[in-house]
This record gives sequence, structure tokens and C-alpha cells, in this order.
Amino acid sequence: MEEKLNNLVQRITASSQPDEVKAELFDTISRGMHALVWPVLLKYIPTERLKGYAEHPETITVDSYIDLISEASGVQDGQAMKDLEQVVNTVLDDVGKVLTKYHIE
Amino acid sequence: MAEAGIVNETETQTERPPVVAEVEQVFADKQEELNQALEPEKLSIYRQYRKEFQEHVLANMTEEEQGKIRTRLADFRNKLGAGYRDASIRVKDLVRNTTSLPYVLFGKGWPKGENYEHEIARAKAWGDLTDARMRMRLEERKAYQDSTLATFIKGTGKWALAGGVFGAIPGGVAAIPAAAVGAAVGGTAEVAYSKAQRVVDKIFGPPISVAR
Repeated sequence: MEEKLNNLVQRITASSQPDEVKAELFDTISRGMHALVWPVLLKYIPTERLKGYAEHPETITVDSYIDLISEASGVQDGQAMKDLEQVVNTVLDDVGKVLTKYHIE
Repeated sequence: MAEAGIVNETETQTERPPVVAEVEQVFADKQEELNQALEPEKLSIYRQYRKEFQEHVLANMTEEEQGKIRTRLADFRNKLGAGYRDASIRVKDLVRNTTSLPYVLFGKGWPKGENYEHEIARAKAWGDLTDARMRMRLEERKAYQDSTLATFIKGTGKWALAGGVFGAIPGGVAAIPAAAVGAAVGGTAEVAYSKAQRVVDKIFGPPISVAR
């Protein structure tokens, strides 16, 4: 993942795009990657448990939040992490295709 | 683009350069695809949970409780960082930066007390550290270049004296601008690499340590 991202960043950096556009691209990539985390994690959070917290706010604590995320991240085998890495890799490949389309080689 | 993976219905699209808009669309499409794959209503339940978390836990937190939350989050981050050997450090950074909800909320209504100042200072320190690392890399590479250049000049000087190809350069090897040779040896590439690496670091977000 880092190698793919590094490659994209180098292509953008070396391109003739105005600095403002480069900055916007970096910002978009950064926000986009972070925005993919929750949809992946949510897949691993039991709906009923989340619903229980949402319907009984008094049960929401920092500890319960951390437990929720820890479990969702896949305490046993980190499957969520693997999923996330795969998702981000796929998206970065697609971003690379867009850059190629705009001659950002 | 929506925050934390949630579609924001109120967000308005401003005019963007086409390449930026298309890159944004790539992420939006993937996000939508992932959201669609979730169980029905899960997204709205999560939104409700998040709202309640903000209103019931974060908004009413005392200074003392803010201190405690940092300790708990430190444990959580360490746990994430230490586990899952198959996952890359960068993926862990992504998850850690994104799921530390209280940190996401800094500057968005979070009480700007002691911890807020600490967080700002930490972010600044991270930026300074990144700059320092880049400078260090450049200095190391420059020392290497200087060393290589010295060897290069020494060697070619001998060839020039022997009537080799460099002997044809008016004024000999000494006439070659040192900067030009340095760039040829790799100086320019190093600057590009360091800049790119720095951007990559920023994209992933600061490596977070919540130890106080």
C-alpha cells in the first residue's frame, strides 16, 4: 500500500500540475483513504450491539467504544485490517488510472 | 467527501479541477460500494451511535475524564499497533487515526482545555520532526555525494592526465560545476524522494503517541 501511494505521490509531485492542484490531490487522497476505514470496520461490528448502544446512550462509554473498535478490528486475526489494506490498494490502483488519463505519469 | 466514511447529505460540491474531481469520485464510489454491502440500516444506526457518543460522552467530559480517556486510548492504540502482524504499519495508522474519535473531534467542539493545547503541540512537534528527518536525510545524502564526487573527480582527474575522454573538456574536470555533478550523482532524485515521502507521511497522518 505504501509503495503504491508513494508512486502516486511521486507522479503527482513530478507533474506539471499547478501546486494548488497537487495539494488538492494529496488532500483528496488523504481524506479518501481515511474515509474508507469506517465502512470496513462497520462490517465487523455486530449490528445488534451497535443498536443497543445507540438506543441506550447511557451505556455508551469510552471503554465500550474502545471494546467495540478493538473487536471490530479483528482481535483474533485482524481480518478487518487485511480487508482495509486490500480495499485501499484497489482504490489506489484506480487513482493511478485517473492520473494516467490526465497524463500524470 | 464525507468524514469517517459516512455519506454527508449536506455537503455541497464546489467546483474542482477535473482530475481532483475524478480522484474524489473514485474514493466516493468505493465508499458507496462498501456502505451498500452493509446490512440495511447499519449506517443509520452507526450515525445515531456516533451522535450519542458525542452528546453523552464527549460533550460532558470533565478535564479529569479527558486525562483518563487519553490513557485508555493509549492502551487501545498500543494494542492495535502490537497486534495483527500481517497488517502493515500504515494500515494500523489509518485505523488508529480514524477511530480515535475524541481526537477527530479536537477543534470541532471538543473543550479546548489542557489536552487540546497538548494535542496541538504534539501535532506541531510531529511536523517539526518530519522536517528534521528530511533535513537529516538530505545531509546524509549530501555527505555521500561529496564523498562520491571526490572519488569521481580524483578518478577522472587521473584519466584526464592520461589523455582520456575527460581530457577533452576545456579546463579539465575542475571546470565541471560541482553542483551539476552532484545533481547527476543523485541529488535531484533525493530531493524528490524526500518530498514525496513527506507527503506520504502526511497522507497517512501523524504516527500518534498519546503518552503524556
